[in-house]
Amino acid sequence: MAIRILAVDDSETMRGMVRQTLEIAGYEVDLANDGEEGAKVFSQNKYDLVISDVNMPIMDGITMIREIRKIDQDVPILTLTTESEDEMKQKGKDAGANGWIVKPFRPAQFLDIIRQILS
Amino acid sequence: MIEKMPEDQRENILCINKNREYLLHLDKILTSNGYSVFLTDGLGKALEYLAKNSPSVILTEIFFDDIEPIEFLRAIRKQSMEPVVIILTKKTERRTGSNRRLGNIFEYLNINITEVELVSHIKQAVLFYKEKSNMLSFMNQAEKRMTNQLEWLLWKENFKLTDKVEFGKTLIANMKNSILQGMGIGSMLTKLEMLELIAEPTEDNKIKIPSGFLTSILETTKSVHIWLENLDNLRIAFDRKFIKETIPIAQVYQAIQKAIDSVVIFQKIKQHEVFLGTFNFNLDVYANFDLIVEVVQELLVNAFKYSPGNTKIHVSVYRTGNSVSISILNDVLTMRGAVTGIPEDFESQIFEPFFKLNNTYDERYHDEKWSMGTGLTICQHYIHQIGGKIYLYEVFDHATGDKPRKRIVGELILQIVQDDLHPQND
Repeated sequence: MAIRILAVDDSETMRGMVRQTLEIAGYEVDLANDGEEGAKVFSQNKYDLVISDVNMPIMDGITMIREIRKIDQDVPILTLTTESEDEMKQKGKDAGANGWIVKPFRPAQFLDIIRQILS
Repeated sequence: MIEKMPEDQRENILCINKNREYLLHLDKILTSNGYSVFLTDGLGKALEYLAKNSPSVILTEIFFDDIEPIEFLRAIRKQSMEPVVIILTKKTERRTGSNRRLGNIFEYLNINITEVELVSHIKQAVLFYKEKSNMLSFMNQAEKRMTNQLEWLLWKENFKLTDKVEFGKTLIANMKNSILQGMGIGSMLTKLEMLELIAEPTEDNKIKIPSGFLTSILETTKSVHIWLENLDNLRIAFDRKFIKETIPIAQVYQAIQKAIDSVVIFQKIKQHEVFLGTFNFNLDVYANFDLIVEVVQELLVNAFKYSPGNTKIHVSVYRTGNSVSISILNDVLTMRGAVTGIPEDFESQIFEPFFKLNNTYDERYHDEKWSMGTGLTICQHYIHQIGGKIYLYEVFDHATGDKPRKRIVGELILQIVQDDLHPQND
């Protein structure tokens, strides 16, 4: 059964790049536009990994991670953040994220991290 | 009759003389004239007294057997510089050069001086002491003020550097975010590196890539070009000067209408509706047509970006006292986990260059004129040139919906021209 990943980002361009990169590696990808939609989609499906932007309108990534952790304590979660947001990396970790990926991500490195997390 | 002053308000006089009888004589004279007196027959006790007290006047003999006059006076002065010194001596010779060296000897009197003359000299000495004290106090205060001011200036200089560093850091962070956002250079980098994963080598040492992928890379380069153009636009905007003109309110209204028409492309992104209210007054304001167009454009695009889709933006023009307000109202975009609306604490900060309330970026508005948190700064810079004001704040709107709700107001205030030939009438 294919590994299923939920990618959440308010940037259409970023969603597209994440999807394209993950699909190259053979993963199934669902997308959400913001934290609220992400939490809703997660509650309705089963995922092996969640990748989420942090700064989003409606509901930010940190709040979404907390909502997801109420449903599932185990699913790996990675945040997507720019390097300058050290505070955000820590906030993500405190909310329940397992790690972070720095934007702009390098596709080969991105896939390596995903493989490590999933294994 | 001399009223007896309360002890604590009497001027203190220190009398030093080896002749006990004379001391008591002085005590009687001075006490009956309203002074508080301390008597001593030697230098040691005088110095002890001066360590704990501050007499106004020291009335003293200086010719002692065990100490030179100059040494005696030097010791007194070392202990206390403030009291006025009157030498009251049995010797008849006048001040010598060595005594004169000690400067502030107020007077040199002989002990045979009459009581009236003595009291008169002491009164003058006390007056001199008070004036000297006031002057010293004033100088101390001036020195303290100057020290405070120097400290303040130093602090400002230090803070200026910190402020510049913070400003620089904010600018770098904002520029980096802007560069790395979805559509910009960050996207270009990721896509180019993705070639490593999707490019297929051919026999003739070339590579094959999907044409759609190449198209998407080229689209990204267009976005980068736009971003670079916007940087230039920012530089030009910061340097731009507008002339403060007198224009009728009808022209201001036309400028607003022009601004609304020019941002339709952004209005359609989230399907907003814009309603421009009417007005029924006729007067002139200090403004500039092009300036009004540019500022209202920016406030409208902000309203689109930071309000929910499919909501209404209300624009109104109304008079308040000596000014005219142009208000742009929008609903509040929920930002769970971040700052929603414009809390009072941020009402000034949002006008600072490169300041962003939340670090979100809606790439659908990528083509907006001023980005990276500079739009409001530029608006303020423009409005001030024509003597106007600009504010952004939250209100409870009771007028435009079924029920009161929190909305954001972007308000421009323009000064009405006071002109007898053109009476204002509503």
